[in-house]
Amino acid sequence: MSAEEQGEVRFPPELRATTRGEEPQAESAPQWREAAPDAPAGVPAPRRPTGDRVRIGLWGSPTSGKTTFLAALRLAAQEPSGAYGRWQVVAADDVSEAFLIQSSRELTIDRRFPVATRESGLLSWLFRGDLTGTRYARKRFGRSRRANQLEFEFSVLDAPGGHYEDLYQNVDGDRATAHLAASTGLVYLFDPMREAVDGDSFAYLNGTLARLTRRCMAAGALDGPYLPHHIAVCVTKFDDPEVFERARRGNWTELGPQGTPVVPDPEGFFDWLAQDLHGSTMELIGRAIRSSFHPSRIHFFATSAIGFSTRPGGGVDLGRFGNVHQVGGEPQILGAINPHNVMDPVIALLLGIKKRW
Amino acid sequence: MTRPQWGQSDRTRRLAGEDDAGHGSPGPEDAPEPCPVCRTRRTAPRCPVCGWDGDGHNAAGGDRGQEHTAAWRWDLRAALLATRAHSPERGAAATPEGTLHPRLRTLLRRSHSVEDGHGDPSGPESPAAPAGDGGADTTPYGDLSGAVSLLTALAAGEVDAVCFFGVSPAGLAMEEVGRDDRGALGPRDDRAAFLDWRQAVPWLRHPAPERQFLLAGGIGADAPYGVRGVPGTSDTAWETPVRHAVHEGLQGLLAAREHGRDIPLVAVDAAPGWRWPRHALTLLDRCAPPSATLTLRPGDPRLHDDPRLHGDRRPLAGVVTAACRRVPLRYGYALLTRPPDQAAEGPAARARLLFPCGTRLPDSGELPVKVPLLASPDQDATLFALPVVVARGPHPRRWSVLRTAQTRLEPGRRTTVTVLLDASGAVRFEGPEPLADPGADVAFHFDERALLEQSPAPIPRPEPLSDLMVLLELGGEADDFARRTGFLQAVLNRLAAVWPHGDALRVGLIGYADHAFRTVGRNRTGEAPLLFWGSGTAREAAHALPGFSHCGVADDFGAPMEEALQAAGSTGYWRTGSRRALLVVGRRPPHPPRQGRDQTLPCPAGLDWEAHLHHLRQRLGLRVIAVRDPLPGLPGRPVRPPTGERIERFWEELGRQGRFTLDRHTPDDVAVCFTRSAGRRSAAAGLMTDVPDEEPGPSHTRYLTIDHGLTGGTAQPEGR
Repeated sequence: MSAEEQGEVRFPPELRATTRGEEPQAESAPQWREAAPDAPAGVPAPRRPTGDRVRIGLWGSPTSGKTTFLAALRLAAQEPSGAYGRWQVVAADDVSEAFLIQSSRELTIDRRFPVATRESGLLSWLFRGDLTGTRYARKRFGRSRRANQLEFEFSVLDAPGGHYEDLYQNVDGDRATAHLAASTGLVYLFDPMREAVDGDSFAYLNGTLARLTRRCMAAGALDGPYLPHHIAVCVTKFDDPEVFERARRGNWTELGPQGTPVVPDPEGFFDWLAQDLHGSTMELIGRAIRSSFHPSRIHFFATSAIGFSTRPGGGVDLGRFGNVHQVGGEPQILGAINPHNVMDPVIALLLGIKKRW
Repeated sequence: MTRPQWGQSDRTRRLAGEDDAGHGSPGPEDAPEPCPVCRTRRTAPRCPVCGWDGDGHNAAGGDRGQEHTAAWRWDLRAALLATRAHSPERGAAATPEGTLHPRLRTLLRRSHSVEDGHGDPSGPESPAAPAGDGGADTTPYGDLSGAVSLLTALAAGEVDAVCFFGVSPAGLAMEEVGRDDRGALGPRDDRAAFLDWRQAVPWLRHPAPERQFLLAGGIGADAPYGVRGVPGTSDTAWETPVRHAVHEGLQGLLAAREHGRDIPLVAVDAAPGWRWPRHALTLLDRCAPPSATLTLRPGDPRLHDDPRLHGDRRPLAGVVTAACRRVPLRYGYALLTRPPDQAAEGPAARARLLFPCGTRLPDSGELPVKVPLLASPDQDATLFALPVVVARGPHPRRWSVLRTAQTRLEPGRRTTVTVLLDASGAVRFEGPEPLADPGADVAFHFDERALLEQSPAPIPRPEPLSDLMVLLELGGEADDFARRTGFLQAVLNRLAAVWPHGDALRVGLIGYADHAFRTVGRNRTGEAPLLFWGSGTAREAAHALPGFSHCGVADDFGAPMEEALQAAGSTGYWRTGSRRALLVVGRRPPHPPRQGRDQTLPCPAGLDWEAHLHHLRQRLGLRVIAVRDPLPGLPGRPVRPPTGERIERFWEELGRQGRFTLDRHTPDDVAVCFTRSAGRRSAAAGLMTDVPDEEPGPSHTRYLTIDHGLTGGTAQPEGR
């Protein structure tokens, strides 16, 4: 006799495997629906996966590097070493295609960062990939080659970061939250240097989380006390001298196989950095994320959209690793960009989401 | 209260033969018998201090009762003295430390009421006047005249020093006043000493009110005489440690006198009427009779010293300093000026007396003297010096600079400077023109001696060789670059005026543009961004400056100055035996050798600017003068703290021997700094020209003529 048959309610509720076209639901979801407040009109539920497609949303405070992350994503997907398999990126519309071309040129040829987003716009790309031969591939005996083929839609309502705080006054902010709610996976970008100076990142996260929870509650999509999303928490600008030096000071870095610094325990680094940035709201951010998402659905990364400056033969010289310099008050990219942990969060979300189906 | 231990016979017997009268010196053998209670020499049967009447009879208790009354009266008097010296807060007055003996608490409360005027001091239990033996208190409290007369003799050189020995409720203190070469008096820190009563009398470990009650002569309640655990507050218990303390305090003075030093002594009685401090002064009178006596009330504010000022307790420092300030100036204070009709062979400068010898320092406020001056029209520079000297005689070699200020004036302009002398003998300036203290700018050390000796040397000497290398930052906007080159051109023109021809001064230029930071191609290191010129004269260098042009900026917080420093050290530019200087005119610091928390990119060649700077200074003996072009405000986020710290640290290190800022300093400042380092003093800031009194009739101003010791001075300082 199962626990359900005995009348017990499992907590946290386990996600039940759903058929295609259905929303993934927790076993005890109806109990939570009873307490749902009035849902705003036209609230979309978290979007269910269509076929193997998963929708991933991007989220972050101002200057956290959302636009740069997007611009670097295609370059990271074309990683020559094939660490993430082979990927094809197909723009869903003209706007997304133009953004892809323009931002890639800015990063690689003009050596400057894409201009920060000032107006909201929906960008969408279809990522089709094959993980065969990579460390992310499933290697079960008898599994067909198709099992390693993935497809996801990376859809971003590229809104200025400030919209995530001003949810009540700004229509675009509400649209951005609705877009996040309709996604299956979330990439949350956290800029520690902005937090060290301004200490206001929690304001952007907290408002969005509250609205997101309310939407999911209204749609009956809450998984017990948790949001149904998978989330990748990315500590951005890892190549920044101040962030990287802090990580080195805390002994959180190692040299990876490519000669590039990596953080073996990014979650531990996140918590340590929250304490090292004493007086900041980073600790509150960690608490808020852990209380809103199921622990098994939270992934931490130390990312850098442009990566470290590398030597001609590859590898990073720890005496001159900076890839950004400031000219006329504007940051500029010094050399070739080497996206670091940009595809990893997306792959981790994909695999985590796929594992549940 | 019953005190059976205070038997009259015991007390009389114990006190017999003692010579320490409460308020007088030991008398002859046939002197009246001392009072058995307070041991005052009585001139009448009734003691004027404690009121004991040996011949009278007390109706209440006979002799015993009378003695009790007298003892109470005496203790009340001691308590009153102690209260005056130690005035705790009202309410907790009697028990400042909470554990006072009931009798003493009663006494203190009673003394408080007497102090407040609530009690009746003329009543049967009232104490006599604390400072006198029953008569009117005629002591001249705070009269410094005796001490000032001795200090005046010291200022005149008649004695070697003056020693102050003070006794107060706090302890015994010693101060020695000396004279410096300017004739100024002041206590010598290394000769000051203080001995707390608790150290002098080891058993005196009581709370402050009880301790002062005992010091004032209080007898107390318990047997044999004393309050709470005093080991026999007998005279023997007091006299030995007091004698020892006085002898110990006088040892240094007596030893100095044995070596022939003439050191008069001033006794400072800061506890008048207190029995044991008075006893110490009596012993002092026997060992080293004072030349003058100074009496102060225990509450005199000058006795309340602040240990933070001296690092140790020095209760007499305030009194001694006040006495020193009453001594007239031994030497006059004068302002150095240029004579208005300076002839070629005439004196180069003269001293205008501001405060003649004999001037009394003001008790408060400041003593002003207004001096009309003229900025010499024949001088190119706009920087003028205002040195005030202590005129110890007609010969300038015996003069010493008391204070110097500098002012900026257009040549030919007149102004009036006010010189103010304060109560401490210090001098300061006020004027309509902005005045600056050269000491405030570490980069600009004023060489006053150069001003005193700025006449041409009688025997021409070969001019020393000087080499100057200029590092000029080329990166930046055209306007910024033009401002830097304009400033540098002005400096070079000033130097060209000092070294008009010949190769006594050789100038070289190195312009440094930004690194290319190329990451494409075989060579990733930045191309050598240096541009050389020279060497030549200062005028040629000034003409060559337009050949340098500005270039783009590759990093807001780093320029390849490290490359320029390396080039300056490695070239064979420097001549043997020459005086060398490096002038850096730039806005950004060099690139660091390695990337750290700084936003700045490291030097592509990995050069360490600190190592090269050290090489220039230590190996080549260069003096480095830094001229900083302030960083303009950049758009975007503010400069991060590590970057800001690195920038400030660099300019501080680079400008250790001379640091100037483009907006704050003028080319004159830089030129003067370099000419001084090159051994040329003719470019030092000039003196203001004296403006004679315009009023008809005899001038009230007196001068000393400086003739540089060639013919000897003839004038003498005169008072006005």
